Amino acid sequence: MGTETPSTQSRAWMPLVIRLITGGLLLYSGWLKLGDLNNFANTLDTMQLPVLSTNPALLVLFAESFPWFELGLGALLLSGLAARPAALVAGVLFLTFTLLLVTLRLQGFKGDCGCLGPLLSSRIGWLHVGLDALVAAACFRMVFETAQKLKRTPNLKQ
Amino acid sequence: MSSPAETPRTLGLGALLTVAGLTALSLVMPSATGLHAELSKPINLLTQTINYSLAMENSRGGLAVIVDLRPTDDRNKNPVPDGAVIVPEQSDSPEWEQLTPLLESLEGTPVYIIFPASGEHPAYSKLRSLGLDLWSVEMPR
Repeated sequence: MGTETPSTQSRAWMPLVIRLITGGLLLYSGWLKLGDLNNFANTLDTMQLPVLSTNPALLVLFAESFPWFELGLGALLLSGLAARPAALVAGVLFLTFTLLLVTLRLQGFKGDCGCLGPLLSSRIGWLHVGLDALVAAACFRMVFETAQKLKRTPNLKQ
Repeated sequence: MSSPAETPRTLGLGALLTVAGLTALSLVMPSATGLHAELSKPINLLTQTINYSLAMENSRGGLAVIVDLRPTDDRNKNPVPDGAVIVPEQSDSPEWEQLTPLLESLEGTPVYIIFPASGEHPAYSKLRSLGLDLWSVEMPR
């Protein structure tokens, strides 16, 4: 006997969609950055980020490492391995992006976003902020909803 | 995979382990693949301004170059008398391949930027990244 209502059944595919979209975005973003690491490093430099702006060696290390972090996280989400922890990390990551972009916008930063290349207008706009916030919210929702589902159906394995 | 007994605590621990694993991966991969980043040049902060008349005078005298970032309509209504460099709006435009060496050759020459009256121009960060001697032109009201 099924205990799920039609509405919960119809939303059963949501975590998968969220994982696929977020994982795909992260893979694409990481791959783009790896294609032109110098440009990514320079973009970070123009943003004058705290700590990184005063430490070029750290900025370079971050610029060449971060795309691999995105690729790894994207791969975890796409494969479904450690899906909930990976979604939580992705949510925090996209929330950080959102706050960073809002700060840069409010500071009047005129420059590239360095995120999704030709997929999105390269300049930082509210569209970027909205997209990052949306992805962050979707990731947190996935973590939360899966937790609720696990509570309701204790024998369920994701 | 999540287990039925997963609690917020185990989820947090899982997230921490995920971050640790990904951080280790991201620190190892640049050396393993040989893909490294490099900062091109120190970037000049745009703290200098110049008034419009003096900018035009210096440009006319060949002492400086003007880059006009205003939208096409504004440029047509109020063009720069002796001409200005126009740059593409998209930082990934193929036109940059021809423009970049030209702009890089301006090292040491003041580059006066006319900004849009409102909004922003994405090419600005590209210009900043070239390490040029950038000035902001104060437009007459």
